[in-house]
Amino acid sequence: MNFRGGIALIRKSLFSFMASRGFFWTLSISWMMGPLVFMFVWLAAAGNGSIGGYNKSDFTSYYLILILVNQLTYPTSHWVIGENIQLGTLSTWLMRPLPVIYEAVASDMALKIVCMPLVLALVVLLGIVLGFGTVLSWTATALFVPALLMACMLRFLLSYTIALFAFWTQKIDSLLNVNDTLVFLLAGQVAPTLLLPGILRNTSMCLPFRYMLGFPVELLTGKLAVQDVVTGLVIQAIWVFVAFILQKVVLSHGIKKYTAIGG
Amino acid sequence: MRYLHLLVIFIRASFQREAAFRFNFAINFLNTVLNLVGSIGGLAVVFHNKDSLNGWGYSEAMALLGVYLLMLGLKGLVIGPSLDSLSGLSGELWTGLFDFTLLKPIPVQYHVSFRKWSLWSVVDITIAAAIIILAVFKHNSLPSDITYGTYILFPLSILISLLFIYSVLLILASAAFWYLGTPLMWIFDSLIQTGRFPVGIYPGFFRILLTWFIPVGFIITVPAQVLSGRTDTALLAGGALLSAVLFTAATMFFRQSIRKYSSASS
Amino acid sequence: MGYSISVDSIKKVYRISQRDAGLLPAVKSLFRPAYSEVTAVDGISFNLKQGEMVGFIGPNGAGKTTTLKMLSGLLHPTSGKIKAADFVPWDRKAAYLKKIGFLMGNKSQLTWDNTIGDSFFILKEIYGVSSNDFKNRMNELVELLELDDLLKKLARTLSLGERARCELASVLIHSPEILYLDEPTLGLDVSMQLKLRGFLKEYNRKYGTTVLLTSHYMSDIVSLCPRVILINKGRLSYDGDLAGLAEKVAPFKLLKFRLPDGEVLTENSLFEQYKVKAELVDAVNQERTLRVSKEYLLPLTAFLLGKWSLSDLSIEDPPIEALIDKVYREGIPL
Repeated sequence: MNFRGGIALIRKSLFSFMASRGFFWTLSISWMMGPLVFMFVWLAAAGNGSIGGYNKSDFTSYYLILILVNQLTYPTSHWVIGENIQLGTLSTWLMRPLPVIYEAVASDMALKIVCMPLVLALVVLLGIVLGFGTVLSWTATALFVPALLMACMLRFLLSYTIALFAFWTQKIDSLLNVNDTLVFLLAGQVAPTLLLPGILRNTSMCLPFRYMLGFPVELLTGKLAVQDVVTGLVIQAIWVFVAFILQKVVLSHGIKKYTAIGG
Repeated sequence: MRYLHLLVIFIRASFQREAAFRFNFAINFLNTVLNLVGSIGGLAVVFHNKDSLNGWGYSEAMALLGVYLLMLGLKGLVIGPSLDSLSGLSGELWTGLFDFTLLKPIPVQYHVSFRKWSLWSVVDITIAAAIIILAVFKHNSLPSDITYGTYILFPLSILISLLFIYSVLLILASAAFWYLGTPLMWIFDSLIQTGRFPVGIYPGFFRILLTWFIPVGFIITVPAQVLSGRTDTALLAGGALLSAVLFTAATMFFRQSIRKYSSASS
Repeated sequence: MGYSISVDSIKKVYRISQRDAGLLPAVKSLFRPAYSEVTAVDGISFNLKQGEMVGFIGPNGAGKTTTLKMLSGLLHPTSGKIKAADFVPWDRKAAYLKKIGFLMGNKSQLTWDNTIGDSFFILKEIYGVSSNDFKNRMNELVELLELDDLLKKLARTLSLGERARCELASVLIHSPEILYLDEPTLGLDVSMQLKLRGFLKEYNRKYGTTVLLTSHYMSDIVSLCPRVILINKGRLSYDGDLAGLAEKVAPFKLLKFRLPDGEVLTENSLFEQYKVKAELVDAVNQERTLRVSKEYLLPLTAFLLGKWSLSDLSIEDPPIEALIDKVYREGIPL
């Protein structure tokens, strides 16, 4: 693991993003809109009662934390990778004494660092205005950390792997859009997974999407029973592993093809 | 008229571009289906638990969703892609190719607003229309509210909404001339999402923002109200007036932005 | 008037906002923005007759592209007047825009994802070219520029040379009266440059199109432009033929010859003994290159031929690039 190289890449991305932080802050705000809309919907629906065990305050906590987790797990580098492969800029990365994935990871980390202050401020503001009810337990918070880390990795790896298909096909934008749609639908934005009806909920539990976003949120807000937490963590770990292997396979095949053609 | 003929040419060119990517077609289809399932699914989940949302019943909310998808589809048909090719992420303003557009002997606003078509949106529009029809006729509460007036007022309200959308997008696209560095078009894309549901569910300040500032309320909720027979004629008339004013303001702002470009660019 | 293009004291001043780094200056700039002024073009005047082919030369940043943009209507000047094809360019009347073509060497107006043929067709429609005219145009351009195989290809699959030919064709579809060419041969290989030059020359001869061309390749200018306009730091410093420019800047010639083995020649000896001022520019083996001003040319030649029987003495003009380089750096001597 080339830490120095990695840190240098993060710094490079960080400075260039800082220069255009207006651009990225607008981006962050647009990412917040989806969860905000559904938060208000559920707040209006719950009224003074509760739905599926969630009352107004639960919904508020859920969605505010979702916004934070979304910001922390949202990958952006995958949109650029496809372009880099097509234009041949990948060659620059291949020449570096660093694994190709470093560039993407560094860029994503830098973006999160740049955007986090704004999002945190807005979430805190909304929390004050709307009332943040849930008390966070120590165990939940402790378990939240690995769940969050795995969520980041999973979300990143899946998008990254799809983006790598740019080695074979001209336009991966539509594939990435499908991925985004699936994340939007099944990861807990439209509704907390627990509120989904029967079949949909069970499918959601198995697919990786919930584990990219909704699962850590549910964990932290304390809506999960202990055995569900454990099961969730295990499934999450499995998916991370699968995604990692998948990424490695696709990347090595892709680079073979890329270098065979000459970039 | 020559400009109508040019529209045909633009549509043809866009079709030729899109048709080259068959793979994209299949994926677009998948995306549309997924979005549809998700949107209706989300609605179903909410109404699974409640009978009405802010005074809107299931079929009315479905009709609203239909209007939302319809407006998105209409926007995505031509004005969205065209203005995006000017001020969007890889737009002409950033690549430096806008000069070529200025050199063409046709009015810039017309050219920049109608040159790029995304024909896939026709599918989205059809589906949205289907949802609207489904919501209006399948569920019992609505047909009695549909009068002949609705058949006139609904298309009218859609036109007004389109004018709103165009004006807002034009203003955002023009703003890019002044604040080079931030493509602003997606401000609209993110805020319009609030139109999936009746604007009344949003608390005070937010609702005011969405009715008068980026007029999502006018764009989505008003046509849906017409469908449910709850036409607020005052609001409709007000919307017509406001949209005309906004359109004029947007056109003037665009002209001013072009003048800025030609006086201070390098 | 009779002029195709008439430029009168045209001036372009840019305001560039300036700000020091840091928070306080940023806040200050909100209330009182600070600007600095850059004069890109400082009072240029010239006239072109219909059918003239003129080269626009000058160092980078001299104001050439800015002037071309004002001529094509893309920019408003700060002051001054321009009349081109009887129009004021920045009014951007459709009738004027139909009469001009603007080729930008580093940018492409062809639609990236459409075929070349489609791009041409779209341009035909936008410019309102009749189907008959278009057919004739296409036949001619396809033949002269060898575009046959390219019409069905997508713009993004073309090589640089292929794209250059297509770009040139695209700008001629509507038979413009005036052509503005900004670095048309940028990045092209020698054969392609020759081909394009040949084409432009022929086209200008046949159709009498007024051509204003900028290029950093002096061979373009030399082969195409009987007249050059030199712009430096926003001012016009020369308007006339290239030979005249060369005269003014460097009224000297290069003398090349081969010294017989064992012989030696130095600048000092030339001067002291023969009062000939010459500069030794190159000395490889026994080959010598002397730079000498015109007045000393005859005496020097006579002396050299008299002293040794030289079989390969040649008298040349200094390379145009060296001249132009001198002009860019030192300006034109008065």
